Amino acid sequence: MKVLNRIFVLIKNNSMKLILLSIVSIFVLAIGAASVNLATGNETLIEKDTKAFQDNLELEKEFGGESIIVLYESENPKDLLTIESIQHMEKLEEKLNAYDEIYTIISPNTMIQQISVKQSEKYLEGLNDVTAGLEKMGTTLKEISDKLGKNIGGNQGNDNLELNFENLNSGISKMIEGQKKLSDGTGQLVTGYSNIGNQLYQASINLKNLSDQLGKSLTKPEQQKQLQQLSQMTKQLEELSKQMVVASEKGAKLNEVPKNTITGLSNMQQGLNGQISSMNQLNSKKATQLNELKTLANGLSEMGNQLIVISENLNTMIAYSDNMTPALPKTQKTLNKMIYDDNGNLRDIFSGVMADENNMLMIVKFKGGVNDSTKSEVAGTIQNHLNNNELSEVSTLVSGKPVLDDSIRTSMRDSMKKMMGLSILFMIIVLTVIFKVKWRLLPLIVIMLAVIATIGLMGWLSIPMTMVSMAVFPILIGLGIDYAIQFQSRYTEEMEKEGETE
Amino acid sequence: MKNKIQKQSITSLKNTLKHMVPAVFTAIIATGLGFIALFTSPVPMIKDFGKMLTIGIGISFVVGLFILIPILFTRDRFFPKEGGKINKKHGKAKSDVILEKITKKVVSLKWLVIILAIITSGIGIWGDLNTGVETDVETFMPQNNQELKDIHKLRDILGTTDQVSIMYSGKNVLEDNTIKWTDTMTESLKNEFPNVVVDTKSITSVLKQTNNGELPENSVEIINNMPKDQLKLFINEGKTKGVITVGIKHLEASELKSFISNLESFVTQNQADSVSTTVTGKSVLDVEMVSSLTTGRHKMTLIGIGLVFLGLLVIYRHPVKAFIPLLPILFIIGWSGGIMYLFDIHYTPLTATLGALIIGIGTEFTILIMERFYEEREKGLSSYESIIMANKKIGKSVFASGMSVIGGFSALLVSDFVILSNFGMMTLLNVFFALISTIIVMPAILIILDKFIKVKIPMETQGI
Repeated sequence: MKVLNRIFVLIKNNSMKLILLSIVSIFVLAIGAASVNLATGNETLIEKDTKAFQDNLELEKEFGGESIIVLYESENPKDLLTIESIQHMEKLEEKLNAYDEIYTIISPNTMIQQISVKQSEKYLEGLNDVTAGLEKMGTTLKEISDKLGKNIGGNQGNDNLELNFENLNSGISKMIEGQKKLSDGTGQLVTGYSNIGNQLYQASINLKNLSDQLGKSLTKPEQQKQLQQLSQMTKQLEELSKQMVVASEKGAKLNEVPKNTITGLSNMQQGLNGQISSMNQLNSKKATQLNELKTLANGLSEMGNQLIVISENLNTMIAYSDNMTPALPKTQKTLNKMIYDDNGNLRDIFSGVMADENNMLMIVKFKGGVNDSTKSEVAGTIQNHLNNNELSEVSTLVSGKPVLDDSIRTSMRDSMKKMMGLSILFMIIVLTVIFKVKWRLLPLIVIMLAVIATIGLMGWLSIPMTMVSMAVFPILIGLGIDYAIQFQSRYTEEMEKEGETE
Repeated sequence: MKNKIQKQSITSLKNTLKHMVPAVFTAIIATGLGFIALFTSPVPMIKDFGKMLTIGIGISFVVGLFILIPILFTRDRFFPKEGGKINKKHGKAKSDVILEKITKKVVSLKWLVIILAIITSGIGIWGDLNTGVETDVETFMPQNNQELKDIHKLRDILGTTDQVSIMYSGKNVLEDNTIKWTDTMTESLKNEFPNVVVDTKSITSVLKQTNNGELPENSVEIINNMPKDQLKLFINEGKTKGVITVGIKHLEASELKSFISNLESFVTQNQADSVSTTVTGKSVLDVEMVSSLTTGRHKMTLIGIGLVFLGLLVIYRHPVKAFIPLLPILFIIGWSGGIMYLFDIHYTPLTATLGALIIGIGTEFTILIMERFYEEREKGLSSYESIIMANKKIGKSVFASGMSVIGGFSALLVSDFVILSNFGMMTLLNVFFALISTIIVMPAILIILDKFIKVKIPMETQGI
């Protein structure tokens, strides 16, 4: 046994150095302990190169991985979907947006945001239609007035007038179309909306003046009929403008406004249709009313201008559409409009985030392959937000696999400490009872060094610590002590021999 | 006197190295071979466990050799102290008497002992084959953990606990055919597996939501107008992959396994030409793990037996001699499996390693007894006398070894982790069985198989 002889010589001549060197190497190994990571994921249960693992990896890459779920719970269903709790979610989501590792967040709030976005898109479309309609009305009115002026000059252009009125008609139709879209949206009101209202009001005043003037000069019954229609139109415009102003002050009523407007505009349309027929009558008697027509033409032209201005202003407003951005509803009424359909049932879109009437969920889904520490950090961020922003009637809970895993890792650390402590304690007892030699606890100290070195080597070789490998330490202490005892007892036995020294 | 101690220390060092290093090294090789069997497991955490154990005992050996022994040597060589001598006890110790009695009894009943061991162990192995496997990671952890209670509460509220995903991919998953297929698949799963499937979600179920439960005509247009955040849960950005998420009830491992395979065949039978499908998700991984645990467990044990046998064959150059130390351990594997079956303890990734582990640990005891037995036989004693002697001399040290192993393993019992405390209980039981088997079954085996082994008996003691 050459090897044994070498070891003998080595220990005999350099025992002190050998002890020091061994202890230093153990410390070098021990440095690796810092990089031992606790693993709880799928990769601890199944080989990475299996089809099942790869398929799942692919799934997580495409459609996101694990989710943290925040549960909002309330005794009373009414207290759940409130402005307060929606804002609470909004604030939390703002914080979470800082993490790139999050794949998506789904919650009642994100659903409401979606509805808002859709509504504001519709709203914008509606406003565009209104603008186009107004412009069309304006230009047509101007044309009509032009032609009227020409008629005064003796030219016959009546047939064209009918065309103009049809244009006017289609302009109004467009406005109705636009207003319908507006009524579908219950998005946030914009300051600009009240401007339109004001301008329309101005236009209606002008129109009123016009009809007053006409009233003074036109005396024939069929002319009076026209006047009535004109003043009706005026009234409706006025009504519309007032409502717009009011609506802009009370955002919640917005969806009521377009409905009224539509009625108003439809009436205007009927009025116009009446106008067309009466215009024809008017033409047959044109010579006598040249003067009055002049006045009408002037008035119409002015009104046309007004409408064009309104439409331009509206365009400017749309261009600055940042004040059209969807925002969270500010009143419970508006919120309810978004959440429930006309029959008072929860909209389908919320089925994924409302577990039942007492519980709603925020689902924070991670991208695939996000590391554990990030997941823990996100879970911590959520927990902090919930702790610092308690809701009055709603209790919250953070759960999901990442949260559980985090807790398992914490328990693992505690459990390991506990087991190590107890192993040492039991070993002291066992050694005291069965090992009757000098320095009987030495094997334990030596084995502790071996355990430290093993943990360190795990770090160097990047072997993760799992629920299973925690069991290594008690086993190692149990087995390792056995070897150390064998060495020490044999050595002690040899020392006690009354043998002759060589 | 001091001088004498210093000189004695050198002799002691030499003798300790000469006698103990080969013996401990052999024990470590046998144990290590058992642990190496764990490398064959398809479960990564068991592999890592095997790696760490093997590294650990290797380091223990080195540390014992290069720190413990030098410390003892240095103490006596450079800082000798007077006294501290242990008074040797004279006369027979109680334990010797008990061991002798037991051994005599065993030898007289050797056939009964062997047959009993074989029968009980056979029944145990049959039970073991029918023992369930626990793969729900949540049952491994501390059960009073708040986060665990939270997740259970959450599941009660949601009504579904597990998920299977059917991922499908094609050139364009928004083609009419594919959309129709997705819709049919999403709708039919509930009818096909009414007792398992709780709900299904896919791009078509979202489309229907927006359209009063009907599949709209202009799906593509609607999808293009959908918010991205909602869309990306069901189809990817390139529109080449989609997923149908199937929420299922919580199933037992075996039920889950059959459900997954039924689902796979159902999906394959009803596959559209335009897409290829994969059934995946956490539940599928779980099933995979169950099968790797159940198939891997017996393989691991058998490989452990094979490796230790080969190792001993290399050392002893005799098949019967290499096999003897393994026999008592084989009985333990049977008994241990029987106990698990009796008390309905399910296998976990950790208890699945018991077989390989106990082979590694237990053979150390049986080898010690056997070696001593043949040492006595070679001195010229009869097999009967040899076995009494071997048990008396080695029984105590085997008992001490067993005690230290039990002392270390006991710490596992108090862990909050169910997986660890269960394992601790089973290992303690196994070490206890190993001691019983070594003291009681081993003598019977040695006596019965004695005729198969030629013992070189020294000339002067040979009878005429």
